[in-house]
Amino acid sequence: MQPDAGTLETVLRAAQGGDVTAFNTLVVVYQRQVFNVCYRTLGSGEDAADATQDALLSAFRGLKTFQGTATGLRAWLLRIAVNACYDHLRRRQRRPADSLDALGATDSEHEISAAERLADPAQTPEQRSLSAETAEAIQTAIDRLSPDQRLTVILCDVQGLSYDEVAEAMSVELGTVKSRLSRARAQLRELLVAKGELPTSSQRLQERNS
Amino acid sequence: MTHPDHLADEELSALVDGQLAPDEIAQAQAHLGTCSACQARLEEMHELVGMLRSLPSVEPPRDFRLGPRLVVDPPNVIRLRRWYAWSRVGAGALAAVFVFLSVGTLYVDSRPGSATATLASKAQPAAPAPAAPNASGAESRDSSSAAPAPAPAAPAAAARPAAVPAASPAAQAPGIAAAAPAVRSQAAPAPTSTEPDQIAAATTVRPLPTQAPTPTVLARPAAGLATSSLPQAQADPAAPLRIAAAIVGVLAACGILLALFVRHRLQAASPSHLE
Repeated sequence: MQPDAGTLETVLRAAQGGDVTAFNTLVVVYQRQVFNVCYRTLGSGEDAADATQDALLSAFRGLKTFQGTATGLRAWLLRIAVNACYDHLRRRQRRPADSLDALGATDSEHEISAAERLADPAQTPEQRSLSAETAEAIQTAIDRLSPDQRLTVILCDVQGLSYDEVAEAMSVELGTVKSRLSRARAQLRELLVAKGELPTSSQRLQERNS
Repeated sequence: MTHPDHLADEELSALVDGQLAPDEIAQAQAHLGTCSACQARLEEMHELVGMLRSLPSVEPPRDFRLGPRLVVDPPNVIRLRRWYAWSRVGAGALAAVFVFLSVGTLYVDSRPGSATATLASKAQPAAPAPAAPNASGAESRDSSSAAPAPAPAAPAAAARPAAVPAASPAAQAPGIAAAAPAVRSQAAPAPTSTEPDQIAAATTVRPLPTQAPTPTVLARPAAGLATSSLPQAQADPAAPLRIAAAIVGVLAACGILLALFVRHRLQAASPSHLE
């Protein structure tokens, strides 16, 4: 699915010239990742789809202003996605009634993703297969982080971006990424331990000593 | 964790991601070799990051490729864009006309006296009667300067009530606000520069019998500020210009407000997430 760097560069230049077909080639490459960032940030498939569409349209209109090469495109696109997510979060804050709907949507979305997970047996050795309950507990915990921490942990841990790319996508310093990530992980640990998804530190020590 | 030698959360977090400098890694390893609490924390961190990495990638519910309808702006945005363009051009044109009219008013004001009146009265010195209606402007001014009591205030006051309505709409329009003080400051000295001509006119027109009631006509706008346009149109050749400038100024202000409003709506309708 991922074209090589040279092809991508050519496609990027064509898209910058206003070629919609070329831009759609880029959409096919990146839409899944953009959608997933939005999905994990907003916790709702519907909102995430809207945010993804907004972000990709903004990207198409602003592609002429993109100075970098194809390698920097992912971070640039994700930065636009991050801004679209912030926009949606702000709008949700302004209309608290909608967030209740969004919560309802979140639950049904989770069931969908859980079903998908069962259908997808692909796992890298490092990753473990999560039960639907665990995945949901993780998403619930992520939802409780502040927007900045949430996006940092999603870009870095869930999407596997490097610190540099995260800094670029969120337009912050590298040190900020480090500290936000560490705080987000500490908070996630607390939340997941409280949920019983991670063993408490005393349990862990006992396990080691026995 | 409260132990000062223990690894900080941030160190553990960076260690898991391989983001520590080599000497920091060595330090951390040395500590981990002796501290089972930190080993447990590192293990926990590994486990947490592993869980996060294992979150499944969700299949997007639809294809986000841009169709021809999406690339083109939605109709409301197109309409707003057109409105914005027109309101900007309109407001700019009106503002330019307003400046032009204001300058024109100042120019007419700064010309010696009401020029037509002086010319007419000088051209026909032998026939004072037909000259009277034309000269009434000059006549009224000089008669007031000749009359002792209301004399100094009257010319300046006569110029001011007309200048104020022209200046006030300008204050609404931010771009043209600078013109307002100019109108006022230049309107004030205008009557003084006309004095020599007024004196000249006075010598020619003085014998007129209608001299007595005119100061009262002029005193009315000075006292009341609610000016009736009729005596002013006679007294002030720049009055039509002032009125036109006032109207155009108000329209320009409205145009600028409209353009700002449309721009606001446009930004709300087509958000950009680039920066």
